[in-house]
This record gives sequence, structure tokens and C-alpha cells, in this order.
Amino acid sequence: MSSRNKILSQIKSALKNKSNEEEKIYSISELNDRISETLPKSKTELVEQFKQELLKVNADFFYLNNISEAQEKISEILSENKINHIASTNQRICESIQESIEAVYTDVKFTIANDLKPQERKEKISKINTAIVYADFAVSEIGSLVFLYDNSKTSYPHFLCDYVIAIVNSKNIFPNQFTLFENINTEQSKNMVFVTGPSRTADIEKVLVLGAHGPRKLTVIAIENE
Amino acid sequence: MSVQDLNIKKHVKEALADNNLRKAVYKATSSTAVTRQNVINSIPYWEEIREKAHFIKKEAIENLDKYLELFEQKCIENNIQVHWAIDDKEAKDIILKIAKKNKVKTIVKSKSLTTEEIHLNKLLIENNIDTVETDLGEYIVQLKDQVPSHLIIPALHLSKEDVGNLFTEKLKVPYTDVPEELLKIAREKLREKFLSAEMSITGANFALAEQGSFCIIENEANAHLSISLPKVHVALMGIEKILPSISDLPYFLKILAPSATGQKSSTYVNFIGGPSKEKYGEGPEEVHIILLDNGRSKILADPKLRETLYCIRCGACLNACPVYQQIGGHAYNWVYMGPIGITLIPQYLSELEGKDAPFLSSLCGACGDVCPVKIKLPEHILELRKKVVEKDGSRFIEKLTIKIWAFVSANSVMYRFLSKILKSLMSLIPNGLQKVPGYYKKRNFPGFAQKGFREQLTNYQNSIKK
Ligand code: SF4
Repeated sequence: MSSRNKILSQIKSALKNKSNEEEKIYSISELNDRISETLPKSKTELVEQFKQELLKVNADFFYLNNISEAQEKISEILSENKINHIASTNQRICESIQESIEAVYTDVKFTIANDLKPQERKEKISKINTAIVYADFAVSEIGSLVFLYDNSKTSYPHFLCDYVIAIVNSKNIFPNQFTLFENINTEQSKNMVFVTGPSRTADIEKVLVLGAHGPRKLTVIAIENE
Repeated sequence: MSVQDLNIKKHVKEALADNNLRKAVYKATSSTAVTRQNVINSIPYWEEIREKAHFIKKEAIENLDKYLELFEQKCIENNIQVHWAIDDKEAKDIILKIAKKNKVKTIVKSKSLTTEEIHLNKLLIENNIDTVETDLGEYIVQLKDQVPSHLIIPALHLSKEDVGNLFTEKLKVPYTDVPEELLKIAREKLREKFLSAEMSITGANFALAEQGSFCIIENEANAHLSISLPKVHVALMGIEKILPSISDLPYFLKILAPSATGQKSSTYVNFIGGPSKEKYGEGPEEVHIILLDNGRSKILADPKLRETLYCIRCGACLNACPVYQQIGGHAYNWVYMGPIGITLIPQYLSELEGKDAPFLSSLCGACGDVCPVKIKLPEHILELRKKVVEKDGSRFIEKLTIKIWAFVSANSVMYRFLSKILKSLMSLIPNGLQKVPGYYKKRNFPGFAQKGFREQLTNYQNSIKK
């Protein structure tokens, strides 16, 4: 008998004795009600909650009106931090930011991960300090960003660069993970990652240190209108 | 599984004699317990979520065969290669075969207790495959040639000075004990490995049957780099890690991070739903998942004790346990430690091999109170004590003493008479010498009270009447 069949038949025979623990008459709607009570009441509250949670996980946050304000903000960050090389993806918003920055700052270079072959991609991107990426969704209650591979088709800029600037459309911010999962097509998007702040560890004497193996710094820019 | 001599009593004695260890463990566990409580206070529906998570796990475990078959089928649809391993040996054979087929020279590993359970690293290194742990704590214990001493904080027993000395000795770097600097050193060393490794080995926190995908939860991004840089990804998971569907996951995401680290959410939740190379142009060409039994189906046979398979390895019961706080993880001498460890040890091994484990508890109940999936740990600890005592013939004297005790205490005249005799006998022994065999050597057995309970009660009642 193959191990598969052996394991399955052992499980089946072990489970002949059913657990007699009585399930509490459990009302999912009651729990949902309790969860709903804690949700932000307005868009302003939602964004504010998102901001507060991001600050708690050591990320920066800006809430801006449109893409051109975001471009301005990014330009400011670039000159403040003397950044001249950026890794990014070929998503529409990233491309439009790239265009506007390249038009003003001729010395800033962009490397688009999707344009590179795998081996080259990991080597080149890991040498670049800063990334600009686009998040598909966000969750205000915990300050998380959601990246779907189906859209970015890469996660190297998001993880191999030290400093990540992530843009998210404010209409894609959900109050919690329950509502998030209702809105992701999980049948289609199976490879994805949720990101909550820069990478971290507290493995040595419980001292929190940012920048474990991924980014050390994360800035999130939410824009009201694309 | 091979027979092991756990020698728990010896290890406990050594741990108790090590004051630095006790201090380190106590500091780390109590601070985590405080941060945990703070986050939980901010979640008004915490109890309901625990309850819900418990019954989702119950559904999954009570129908494990059905969900495993569904998971297998959906994984195959997603191009994930599914393997079944009845024991540690078979799992190791599968992993080695995959590595050899792909001519793998370097493997990056991201924290997985299941791979510790099967002692995987030893085998890979014996086969000349450079195998590195990439979670900082795991990297430290690997350099030190040790095993993790906590489910979540592997190097909890080591101080920053210990780590500094270790890095100087093993990595030939100038001494520092600044955590930031130590991390920087490890990050640089490991970044090279991530970029050059051909294969990664990870665990899986949750496997989602309906979707044929699984997720890995972490803070350091080492798991993400492991699953996205090498061309082969192998995940080893215990068969109990299954959840019916992704719609069940939010409940577990809600309880895991607060219980494990006192965070509201872990930094990264990675979802793997198939090899990404072909679809997205980067990452693994092959994803393998190994479904490991290794004694789990045996644990399933007891309808009550099978609840111990609901464990999501959050470590909260360790942090809450007054025994773990004193002895740390190595004293248990097995991969799972603390309250959950002592229920799993005699079940995975045998009641005789793990006979001392269920006694490493004060039965205070703190573990059951904190467990986010509401495993009734104290009940199971008691049940396993019972099983051990039934099997263990060497406990003859203990059994006899308890029988005599039961007989005497059922007879009030005899009870009073014998307590008086014992009291007078004890008073003959000079202070400081009241040693009792089996009782902790450095402590005296507390003397009998001058007046017995009944006498005290009568006096008290009389005083009230007056
Ligand atoms: S038994 Fe409960 S508290 Fe202990 S590690 Fe498992 S899930 Fe966490």
C-alpha cells in the first residue's frame, strides 16, 4: 500500500470514534455584529485608523489627493534621501510615476524588475536601495498592504530593496481581513503576500530591530483619486 | 520513530541549576506575556474568535481524511507536487531525492519545527548540502549546534553577549553585542545564501484545502526570500495543519500574532498557490509539499486527546507556564516543549518514553486560559498522567503510597491519629534537615502546623461564639 493510502486509512480508522464535544450553538452573525461594532464609521476614520496602525508598525504614511501630489511627495523624498536609483514594476501607476520623475530628475534611474530575466533580476534588484511599488489592497485595522502576484508579477523590489515606497488607492483600503477576503478573488489570486511594516526581528533578547532580511523602511502613500 | 531516552529529570536538574538561563527565560516569557495581554485587550471579541477558531479546527481534524484529499487534488490542479510521508525517514528520503535530482548544493531554510522534528539538517549536511537556517534565532542556534528552546523565539535562552561571542568564534567577525550590529552581520551573510541557493525548505502555518494553497507567516522576510529566490521550494507540513478554506483564515490570523509575539499582525503572510516561475517570470519552477504523518494519525485515535492536534504553535502556553519559565525549552529534550510539548511527547513517542513529560506542570491552568484555539491543556495533561501511571510499572511505591493515603483519609479517626504521629516524628528532625526523597534537594519539606486543621477550626468557631 502506498504511504498515501496507508495514512488515509489510518486516519479513517482513527476517526471512527467521533469526538463528543458539544459544539456551542454558535452564531456567526453574532460574532459578525460584534466585529462590525468596531469598524470605522466613515472613510476619514478608516484612513485615520490605517495611518495610526502604520505608525505603530514603524511605517510612514501620507494621504494625498491624487497621483500628481504623490509624484511631488516622492520627488521630495528622493532629494531628501539623495536617492538616484529606483527599482519598480511595470504596473500603470508605477510607470506614470517613473515618467514624471524622469522628466524632472534626469539623474534618477529606474530599473523595472519585470523587464529583467530571473537571474539578472534578483542580482540587479538586490543592489538597488529604493523601490516604488503599488499595493492592490490595504487593511486599516492592522496597517497591512496586500500585493497580488497576478498584478505585480514580481516581489523582488518589495523585498530586496532596503527602502520601499508603496502606493495604494484609498478606495482599496478595507477595514479588516474579513472584508478583505470577501473582496479578493481567492480562486484566481493564489500567490500573494500581506505586508505590515518593514521587516523586523526581536530574536536577540527581545530587542526589536528593523530591517531583518527585507526592507528596513516603509513609506505608504494613499491617494484619493488615481 | 526511533526510541529515544529523553532523560527529562536530568535535564530539568541542569536547567534549574543554571541561573543565567532561568533569568533569560523568565525575562523573555514574561515580557511576551505582557505584550500579548495588551493586544488582546484591544480586541473586544477575542473570546468569540477563540471559540470560532476552536470549532474550525475541530471540523478540520474530525474530517481530516476528506480535507487532505481535497487539498491534494487542488494542489495538483495548481501544479504543486504532493508527497505523503508516513514517518521521518520517508520525509527525509523525499527531500533528499528532490535535492539530488536538482543537483542542489545550497539550501536556505526558514523556521520550521516540523523539520526539527525529523532532524533534517543533520541528514542534509551529511550529504554535503550546505544547509542554512535563515530566521535569525534559528541561525544563532544552528551556529551554536543547538536546537530551538522556544516555539517562537528559538534563541531565547541566549544573551546578546552569548550571541556576540558566538559570531566572533564562528563567523570570525569583531566582537559586538549590539543587537542591530549582530543582525547586520547575519543579514549580510544570509543575503548571499538567499541569492545563490538552489532550493528552499520551509514549513507551512496553514494549508487551505479548498484552494490548494498554503501560507507561511513571519516577521523577518526570510521566508519570503526563501520561497521566491531559489528554483525549488519544498514545504514540509504535519497533516494537522489543514483548514477547510481560505475563508477560515482571518480568524487564525487574528489570534496567531497576538498570541505568539504580542503583535496585532505578523509582518508578512505569504500565500503559495503554485510555482511562480512560469506564471510570473520569477521564483520557483517547482513547489513540493510533503504531508507528514509521523505519529499524528495515532494521536487522532483518542477522541479527546486529538484536540492536541489543533495547536497552531503560537507558544503562548509556554510563556504562561510557571514550569517552562523556570526550566526553558531544552529541559524537555524534544522539539515541542512547554504545556503543549508535555501532551505531545508521550503521544508521539510512547507513554513510557515520555513518562516524565506530563509531570512538568503545576496544573495551574494558565496554559488552557491563554491557548488561542482553546485546547483544554490541563485536562489533557491529567489524562496523560493517568495513562503514564497505568503503563509505568516502576511507580509501584508511588501507587502504594497513594492507596494507603486514600484508605487513611477515608477514615477520620485513623487520619487524626496518623497525622499526630507524623507531626511528632517530624518535630524530632532538626531544622534544615527535613529532606524528603524526590522532593527538591535545595528545599526543606515544610513542617507540619502546630495545630491541625480541625483543631484550628474548632478554636476559631469557639472564638466566634464567645
Ligand atoms: S497549545 Fe495553544 S497556546 Fe500552546 S502553542 Fe499550541 S496553540 Fe499556542
